Amino acid sequence: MKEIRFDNIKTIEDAKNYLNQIDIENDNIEKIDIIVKLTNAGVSQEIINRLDDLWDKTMFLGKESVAVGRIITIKIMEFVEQNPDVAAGVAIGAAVALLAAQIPLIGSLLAPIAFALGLVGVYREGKRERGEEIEPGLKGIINDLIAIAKKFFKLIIETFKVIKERYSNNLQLQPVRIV
Amino acid sequence: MKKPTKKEYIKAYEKLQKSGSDKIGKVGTAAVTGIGGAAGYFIAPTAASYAGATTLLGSTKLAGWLGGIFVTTTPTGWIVGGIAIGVGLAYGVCKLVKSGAKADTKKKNNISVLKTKINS
Repeated sequence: MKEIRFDNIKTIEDAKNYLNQIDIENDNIEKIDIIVKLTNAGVSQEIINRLDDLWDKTMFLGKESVAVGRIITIKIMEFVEQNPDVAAGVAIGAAVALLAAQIPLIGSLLAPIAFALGLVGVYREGKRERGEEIEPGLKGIINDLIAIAKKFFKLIIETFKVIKERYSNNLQLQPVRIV
Repeated sequence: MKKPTKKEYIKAYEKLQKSGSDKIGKVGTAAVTGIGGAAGYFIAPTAASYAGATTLLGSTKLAGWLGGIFVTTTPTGWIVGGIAIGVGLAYGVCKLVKSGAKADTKKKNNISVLKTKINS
């Protein structure tokens, strides 16, 4: 497939082509590769397990099935790799916060990761109250990083907005059994 | 995205073997089965002191948000509780609990996959 340079996503064809392109470019990437990279980057097992779950999620666009979880996980990993000066967990936090806020459609997929990151945040707050040492200025770093993430995930956000408009009530996320 | 090298596989394999179990999964499972208080070690003890008997995972805020889910132990109860605080969050938390319970199995599988990759 010839690589298309996307500046923005305006139509449903653009959206599908863009998702396809990400999928094909990363054809050789397996779930274990993401786990290896995150583990080596020092990300906690709690967060890795939730991203592991996200990887398997699919979405139906009409009759077509899209590996939406795989695509989002790969984009999050690319964002982490493009920001080597930032701790991987912090970069994931910024990416998840942005994507969950900008794309309500996939909010439920990201909720477990956001919740896990939130608990880590409460844990850090507890450490601070006990007078134990934590890294300073995390809130400021996160805010800056979200601004960077907005640029990085622009096309993905536009893609899902177009998808939501086009399919509105016909969108089906992969059914998940709660028990 | 580039594929990891064999060295990276080996490093991750060693790290995964040494890593602890999924603490959030433990907390979630404990809370759903009605012994949530025992899991409070994970969250700051100071947060717990604000709330007394109504804490969940040592936090009043969490108790307020999620009490509807965790006070009942049946899946139906989780869903009914979830409606009160928003279906999205309920889904997320239930999924979190469910996935947490399987976390250790997942880790074992990942270690096994990595071992095969390293030896191949």
